[in-house]
Amino acid sequence: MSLAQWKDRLKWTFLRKRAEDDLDDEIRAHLAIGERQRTEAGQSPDSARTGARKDLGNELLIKEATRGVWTWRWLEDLARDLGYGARVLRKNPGFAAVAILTLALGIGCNTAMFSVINAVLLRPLPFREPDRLIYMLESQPAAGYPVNVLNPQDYLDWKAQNHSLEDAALWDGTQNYNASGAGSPETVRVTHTEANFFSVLGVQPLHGRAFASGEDTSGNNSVVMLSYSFWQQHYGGREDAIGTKLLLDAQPFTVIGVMPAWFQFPARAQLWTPLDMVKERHEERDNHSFHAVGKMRPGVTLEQTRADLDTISARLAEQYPKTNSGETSLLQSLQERLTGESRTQLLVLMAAVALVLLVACANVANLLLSRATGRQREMALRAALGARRLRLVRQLLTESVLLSSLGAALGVLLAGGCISVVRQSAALPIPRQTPIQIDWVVLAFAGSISIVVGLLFGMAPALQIQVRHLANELKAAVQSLSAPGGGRSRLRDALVVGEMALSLSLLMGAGLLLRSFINMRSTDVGVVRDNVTTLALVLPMTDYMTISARQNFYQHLLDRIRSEPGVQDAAISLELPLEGSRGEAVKLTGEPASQPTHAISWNVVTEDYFQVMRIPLLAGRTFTARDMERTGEGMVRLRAAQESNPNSTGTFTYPIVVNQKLARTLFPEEQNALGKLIIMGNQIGEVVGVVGDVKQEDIRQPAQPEAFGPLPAELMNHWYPAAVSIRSSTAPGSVVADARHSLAQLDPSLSFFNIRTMEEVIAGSMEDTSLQTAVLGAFAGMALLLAAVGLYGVMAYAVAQRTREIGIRMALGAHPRAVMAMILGRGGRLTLAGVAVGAPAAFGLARLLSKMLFGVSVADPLTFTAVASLLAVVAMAACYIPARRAMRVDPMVALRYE
Amino acid sequence: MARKEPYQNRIEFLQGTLEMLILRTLQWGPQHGHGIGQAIRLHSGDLLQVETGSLYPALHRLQKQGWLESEWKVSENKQRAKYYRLTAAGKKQLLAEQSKWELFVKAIAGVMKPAP
Repeated sequence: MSLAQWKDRLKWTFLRKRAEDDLDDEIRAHLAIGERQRTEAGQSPDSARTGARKDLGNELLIKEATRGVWTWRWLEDLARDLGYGARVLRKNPGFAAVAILTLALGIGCNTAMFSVINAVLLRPLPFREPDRLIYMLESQPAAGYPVNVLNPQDYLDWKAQNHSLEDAALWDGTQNYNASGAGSPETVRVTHTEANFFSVLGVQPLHGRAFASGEDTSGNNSVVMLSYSFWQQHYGGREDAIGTKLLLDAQPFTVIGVMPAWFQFPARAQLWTPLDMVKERHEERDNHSFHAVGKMRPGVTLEQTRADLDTISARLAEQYPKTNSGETSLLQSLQERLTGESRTQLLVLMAAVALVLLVACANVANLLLSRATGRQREMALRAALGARRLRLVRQLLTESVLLSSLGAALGVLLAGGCISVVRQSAALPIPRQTPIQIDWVVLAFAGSISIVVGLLFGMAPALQIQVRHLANELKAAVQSLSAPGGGRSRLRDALVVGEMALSLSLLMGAGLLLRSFINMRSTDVGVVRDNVTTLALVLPMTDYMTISARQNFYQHLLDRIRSEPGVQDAAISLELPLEGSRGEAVKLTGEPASQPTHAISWNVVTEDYFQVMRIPLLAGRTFTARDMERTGEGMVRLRAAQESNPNSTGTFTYPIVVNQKLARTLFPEEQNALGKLIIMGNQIGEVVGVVGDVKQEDIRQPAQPEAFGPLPAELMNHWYPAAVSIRSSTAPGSVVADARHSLAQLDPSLSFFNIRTMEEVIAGSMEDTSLQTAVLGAFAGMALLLAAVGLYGVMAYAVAQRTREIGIRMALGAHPRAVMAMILGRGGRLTLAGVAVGAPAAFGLARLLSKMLFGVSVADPLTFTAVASLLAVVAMAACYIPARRAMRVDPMVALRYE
Repeated sequence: MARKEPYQNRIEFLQGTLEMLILRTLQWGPQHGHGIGQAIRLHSGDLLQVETGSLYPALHRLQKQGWLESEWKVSENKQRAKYYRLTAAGKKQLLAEQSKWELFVKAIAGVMKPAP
């Protein structure tokens, strides 16, 4: 029932009372007039009253008959049609169940998918005035950083000099801390923010308060905000958590507030503490490690803001040419930043699930058509009794919308189930500032598609009603020797062909993703992944301040781990394969200062890293324990020199190992990169070895040029987690307990986190593709199943219609196998038509997926052949049962049948 | 819809004729239900007795069609009553019914005239 109809009905309820009162008055007036005329004619008042009453007749009956006139005709008709439709469905429970389930499947999947899209793409971010929030980065393409995180000095200059931003807040990448309190120590993810971070986003804490202005300076910034989940886990959701102390790397922080559960920004942050903005103001201009969110002034556009900030950047480039030349702002709306990547994927999946619904529709239309044949006489009879065609069409459409509404109701329940599963699986790479839920927008969506769908598949049988031919139908229905009515059967065939075409395109998409996934799995990352366990660790700055303290600790830890049973090798590195990489801008000896730097990936490792990962050595040597010691000593000296004289130009040279890609990119002419020097500021790397390429970012991308330095070269960056990698002779993971034990013996306040096997690290990098493959595969499977059911229905119907014909054929000597071949042949022709029609659609859908594919072309013939064969096999299986039935037709029974 | 009272030795209305008669009656001016019933009886020489149980449903049906309008007024005898009045559409409808009726009478008369 449409909104307008509801409104009418509501109005009706209000008006009804008034109309009844009015009618009462009218009848009373009638009586009064009659009575008066009688008294004027000389009757006594008593006899006048009874006479008038007698004239009037039965008052109740009059009123009832008059009220009957008021009722809206269409409302009665609708109620009657609905009642009739419900009776028809009740009388055909099998048909009703299949149709409703099919529709529930189609509508349910669409509703679930839509609720994800609604939460991620349609609903605004739950921040205050989210369309004014922008995400701020920098770009310096000439230096090899088309996308770069912020330098705090650049940010502060922007903030002070711009005219377009109302406010802005800085934060750094999430860092790991050792949190301690009761129980075992734990590593937590902490984000440091400017004090106004929460107010720029316009988010209030659930309990307590947010940072006050001025709290982002040294001495004042020992306060911490808790995420909802951290508060639940560690404080059991108690409000008296506020005011207590929390130890982060042994430093006490006062808990001042708890954020609401939905607030997960930046993603995965567990705690927020203030930055020290005084310190950031003096950061080097080439140190980029921050993010910022800005709030534009009302009415200011993103373009205006960009132009404004770039004017400032241009000034900075003039002022600081060494660090800022060619640097511009890189801005995007916060909404786009948070949803951009998932947008295409979600839209592709929505398109796919809409195809499933189309297949479901075609299926139900087919079911209705086969039933319409049975109801042809009923329609003819009603037409003969005076029903107009429009009225019959309306009745059929009411029935189909009733069917689709029941399907939608069940579908919404189904979607609710899907959503609660989706919500629980935290692994899904879906940004979710807003919760995925069935709200009124989603319900309205489900309601409208159910009506559209009902009209769509109801159209098929409705179109078949031709009042003029109904008389013939009355007669024709008696005799069914001839093949079923040509038009109807062609429409049914077309629907089945369409279903198979749609299924083929979905199968093609799923097939291509599956092949991409298989290709990714079998792609060589550059390491031998089995039997390697990785554990992350952060050393707090408080206890491990110096390079040598850190180096010593790691040395002892590795020694202990190596002595554990089953351990073959152990190493520490800054980065793991496929986990992203740090960029470094380097120069080669002899290059003039004006020449742009080369961007390379940078990793530091202990001597056994290449052994643990089984990265092949191609030339020269890898590191030795001696390299580690000497580099550590050299870095300590370099640091001391810098601290005594910030302008010191002293340099320090240590050995580095480079990958093949770097050797070929930076030293293309030479056969041998060994002995070459790579300059990284005041540190110079001398190439002592060349190793095989290891993919750093994405399994789909080739390896970048990469240099490996000895671990002590980066030990100053206390906050950077170290990755401990252990190669064992036993199953990976078996070494974790021993490694934990070793760590606890060295320092009981520390803990490992992010414990994974190398296999899991690699699988994690393919999470997106595996999820897409699974979802699209499920959709394709559903479509295939529905198409098979549809084909089965058409074939079974055809066999039933032709029972007598088949009987005659067999009586005349046709071999049962020939009959079977005849039926299978028809199914085969439909399937071929489906493949022919579906091929262009399949390649079209595949083009949408092209960005997600790896190692397989959009029009991959092998995949197409495979999915077309799968479709053919399933189609033949669906035809087989009716064909068998046709083969078993007993000529005598069939001929006697009518 | 219209309930039929038991047949009472009078001429029964043909389908749809009551509505036509109501429209015709209101051509003389606005009138209330009681008055309409009386007018029809009077003009038919007491041959047509309009049952109240048919009259009011018919009036409401005509009003719903948009052929009549109604209004509560006080009569010359100071009695409150609901007066019905023809609308423009009602006048048009009356003309159509009238010509249809004449055609019908002619047709029936032609068939029913005594054989020569």
